[in-house]
Amino acid sequence: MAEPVEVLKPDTKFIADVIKLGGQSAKKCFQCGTCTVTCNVSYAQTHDESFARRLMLWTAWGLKDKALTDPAIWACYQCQDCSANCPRGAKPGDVIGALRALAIERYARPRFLARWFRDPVYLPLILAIPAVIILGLLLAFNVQVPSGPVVYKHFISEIYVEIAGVIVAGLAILATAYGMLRFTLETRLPQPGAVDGPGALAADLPAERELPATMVSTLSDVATHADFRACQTETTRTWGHLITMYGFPLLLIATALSFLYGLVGIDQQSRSLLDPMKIAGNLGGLLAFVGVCLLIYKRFQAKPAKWGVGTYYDWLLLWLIFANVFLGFATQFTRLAGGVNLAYWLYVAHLTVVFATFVYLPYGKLAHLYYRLAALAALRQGSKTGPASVFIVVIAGVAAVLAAAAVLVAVLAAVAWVAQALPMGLLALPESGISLNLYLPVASVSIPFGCWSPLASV
Amino acid sequence: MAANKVRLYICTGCGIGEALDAAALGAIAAQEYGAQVVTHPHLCGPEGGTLIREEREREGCQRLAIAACSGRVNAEVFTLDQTLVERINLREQVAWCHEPATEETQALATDQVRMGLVKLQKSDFPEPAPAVSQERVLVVGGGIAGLTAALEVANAGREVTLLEREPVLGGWLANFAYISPSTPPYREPQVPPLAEKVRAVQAHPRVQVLLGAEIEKAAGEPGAFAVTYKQNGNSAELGAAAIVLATGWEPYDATKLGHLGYGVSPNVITGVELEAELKNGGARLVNGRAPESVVFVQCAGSRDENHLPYCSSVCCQASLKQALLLRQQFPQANVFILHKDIRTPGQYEEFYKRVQEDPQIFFLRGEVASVAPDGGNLLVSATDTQLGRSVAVQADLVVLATGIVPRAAATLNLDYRQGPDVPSQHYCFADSNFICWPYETQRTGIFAAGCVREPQSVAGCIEDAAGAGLRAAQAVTLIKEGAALHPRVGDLYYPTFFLQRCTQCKRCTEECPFGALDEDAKGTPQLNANRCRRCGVCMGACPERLVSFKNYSIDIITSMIKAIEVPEDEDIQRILVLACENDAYPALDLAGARHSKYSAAVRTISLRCLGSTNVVFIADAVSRGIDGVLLLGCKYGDDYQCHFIKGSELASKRMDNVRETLGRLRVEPERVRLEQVTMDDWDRLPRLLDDFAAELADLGPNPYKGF
Repeated sequence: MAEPVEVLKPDTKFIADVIKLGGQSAKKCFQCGTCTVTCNVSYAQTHDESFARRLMLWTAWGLKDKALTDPAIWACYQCQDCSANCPRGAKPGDVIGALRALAIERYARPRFLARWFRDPVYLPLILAIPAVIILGLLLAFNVQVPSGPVVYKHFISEIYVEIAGVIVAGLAILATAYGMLRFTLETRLPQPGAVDGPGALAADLPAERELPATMVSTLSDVATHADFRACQTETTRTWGHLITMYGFPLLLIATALSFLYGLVGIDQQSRSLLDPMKIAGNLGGLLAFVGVCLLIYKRFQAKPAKWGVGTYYDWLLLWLIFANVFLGFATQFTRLAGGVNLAYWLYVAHLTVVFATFVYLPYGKLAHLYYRLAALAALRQGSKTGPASVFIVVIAGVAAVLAAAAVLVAVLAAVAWVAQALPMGLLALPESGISLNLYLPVASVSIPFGCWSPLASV
Repeated sequence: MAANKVRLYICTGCGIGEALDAAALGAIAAQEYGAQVVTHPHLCGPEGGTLIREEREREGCQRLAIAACSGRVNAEVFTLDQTLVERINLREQVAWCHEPATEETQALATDQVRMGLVKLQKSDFPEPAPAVSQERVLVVGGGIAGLTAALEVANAGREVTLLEREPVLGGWLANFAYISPSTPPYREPQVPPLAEKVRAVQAHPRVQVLLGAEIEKAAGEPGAFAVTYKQNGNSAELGAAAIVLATGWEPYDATKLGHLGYGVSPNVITGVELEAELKNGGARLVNGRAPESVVFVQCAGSRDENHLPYCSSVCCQASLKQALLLRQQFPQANVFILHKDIRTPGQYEEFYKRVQEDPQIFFLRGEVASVAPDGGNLLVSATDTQLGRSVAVQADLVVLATGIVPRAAATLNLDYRQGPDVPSQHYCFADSNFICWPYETQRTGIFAAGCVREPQSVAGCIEDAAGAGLRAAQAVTLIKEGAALHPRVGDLYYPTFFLQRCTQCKRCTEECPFGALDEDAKGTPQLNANRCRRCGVCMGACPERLVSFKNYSIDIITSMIKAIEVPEDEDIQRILVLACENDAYPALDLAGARHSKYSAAVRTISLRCLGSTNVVFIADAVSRGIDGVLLLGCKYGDDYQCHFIKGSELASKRMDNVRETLGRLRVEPERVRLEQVTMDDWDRLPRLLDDFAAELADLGPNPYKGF
């Protein structure tokens, strides 16, 4: 017994947490390894010879640290190929989904905010905080609903809202950065030949890759969903996710432009429908709406006997995105229809939901967007350059998104210029800053919220 | 020879008439054997059956030969009271598997008829069965299997004596608070169904219970067992017609499991010890506290060449049950089940799933490396766990799931020449091939049930006991009629020994697979007729050829061989096939039923068992000029399929003698061969026969041809 032997200390609270988050089937696993061989996505991607199986074992044994620091939990798209083929009904896809939720919680500070996302009891609280901030601003500065044409900056004074937004956003960014740092330090990098850990790479693959290759591979996979599309069981979900995902950079562009217009003093609410900002905003909103509807439809179609219909935790993100887009469009159309009072209050609701979605980024399921990116990079990169590579890949990823955004803005600007050159009166810029029906109302007030209100910027 | 007058019915249906010249066959039968011949186009039909019976009444002829289909079909049509009937197989083994209307096929049919008629003429009616005195069934062992068997037999109308070593009924189950579930949904431990069984046994008017009794000696034979037992210090005797052995099991001796920590700490206990604690108010506290961690070590001494090489099949479900009970008693405790595999056959898989659901029961696959003290408690280390790593678990209590050891030896103390114990098939379990001998031991009239036969669960024991009990009840009836038990059920013939010629060589007494033969002081065999299964192994073994049945003897078989006409033409082959009636002969029938063609040189004689092959059969065949002899018997070895346990194996051993005889006759040893076949070898047999014929052709004709 010279070799130091690991003493098993099951964390029963961890097991209970996995069970609560939809992993109640975890204990059914009897380690046959069907999940390992049926996974078309993660196994193909990493050639990880004990993927899924080892996570099931660690969960059943209550080995929290091992399970949550394994980057392979992010290699799973929950496409359910494993759950569909599991002879025991252990639903590995659902169990790994629960592990991801717990990993997000593990890195979230303050942690109680992450716990709020587990239980519907806290939903009022989640929504109340942004609502109170916004209503507080209303009470402090202007309780009057202005009369006349709807001009949102007459309703809420932009500079105060902007300050509040930046403070809260700063806190969220701090929490995100802390989470990423902890994640990077703790994540167990793939060790070639290991079975008892992530990334036991197959002999025919290079165990480690050069950093540029890793970046290209990771980002192109995210951009095309190439691995996600290898899934055979839940194909609609792949497309739903892809479409939703592409809505977000467009909304980000709209928000950035809106912020820019604010800085240089352009009145956004009066911009043409063919303004790049408005095209990006409306198109992004539309994509997100279509995508999220597909995802919601797919969840309703799920077969509870075979794999889960999702937990509250999963549903919360879907409904938040749905509410974002829905309220955004509702605000816009209400104003177009002339419902003045309602337009203002819908606007408040929209802002509240947008706030709830993005301020809580490090605490809810949406955090997967950066954890997954980092984990996919780590799994591809191997152990060569250590944790730093993960950071580099993430930063490169953000840079790539911004570069793509810049290119898109240029394209949209060109389109708008061409459109303006055409003799179409309806689309021409108006003389005054007062909007006509065709001028979408939401944009002008979106500036204060900066990135918090991508759709509102339209 | 008026009494030996035979009547031959030739059926021309099913293609026989087209393939063969029935008139020529009839002419030879009439001419050579004085047979009265009747040809009929559809003998098994109502008209044919009526015809046979009417003529039997009218003519009074007691020996009928039916040359038609195989004797394995239409038995009900061709079985007549007070009549010897010989079935001559012209359909499956002649008309259907050889070229129709050829000289060779006709010659084969003629030889079949000759062999059948010779056998019929030389056979005789059985002598009345030796009278037996007992009808009572003795059940040994008062556990769940014994109790069930006693009830089954009693409910079937027989008197039963239930003999139990302990002062109370119940066996192990009396120590078990709960057992793993045997009824849907198979999820929660159940209270064992013991109390009601005990009450039913005690209340049953046909069951006599002897408590605190042990058998000193069991002598005699089925129908007349004389069992001496000791109870309360006094010896007494009881008679029985059949015995159910339900003596159960004991746990493997844990003191041999020092490597698993037994003896290292008082908190390393066996599953059976834990069972007793659970029955008596719950598992122990460790150092005055509820244990926080309990480790079950599965296969403790099982599936281990140094201890028990086999799987006891119930330890897994026992530990699963105990794990659940411990979790109920100690809700905070973690329970680890360290296993090689979880083996929960049948519906117990549902129970396994149920136990898996408990979040604080942990399943670790691996090999136990050590169980050692670790501070105040114990550390269990295991290698090669699910991901190949070594892991360890701290434990307050370690439970060793020890296996089942049958309590078969020294229980019946049989007064048999072949020894006091019921022979075992594997690992000392009192079992036989379960397909050939369901619930039977290798001692006729003694049936095994429960864990003495095979490790099994309570539900298995109950089912086993019902089977064994009913087999015992059936045996009582058959033995009373003087009829054989399985597989020659109802056979009324016994072997007779012409002892004047006996040389006391003891081959028959040693080779009898059922211990039917005892010996006197000089070594002369003494038959216990009701222990006999009528396989004829003694007949094959006897160098003096003094063992015979009235319808199956050395004389009959050699006369049949001599009835085969061996043509003087050296190019025409003759091959003798001695085929076991249980597997090889049916396989030949099946080949015929599929119309598979093979050499028409083959002449088949059906033997009760290849073990009844006497060397003289082969010597006679070869010296008659028959080119080769093929013995077709059952598979032998560990997974034998011989209906008489070791008949084909004995035959293969006798092949050494055969080779010696062939050498003396200056004949190539390749001319005689033994092949193991199973009933599903019908597709292989035609080629096997043709290949043998080709090899014989290469050897050239038998030098004795034409002598």
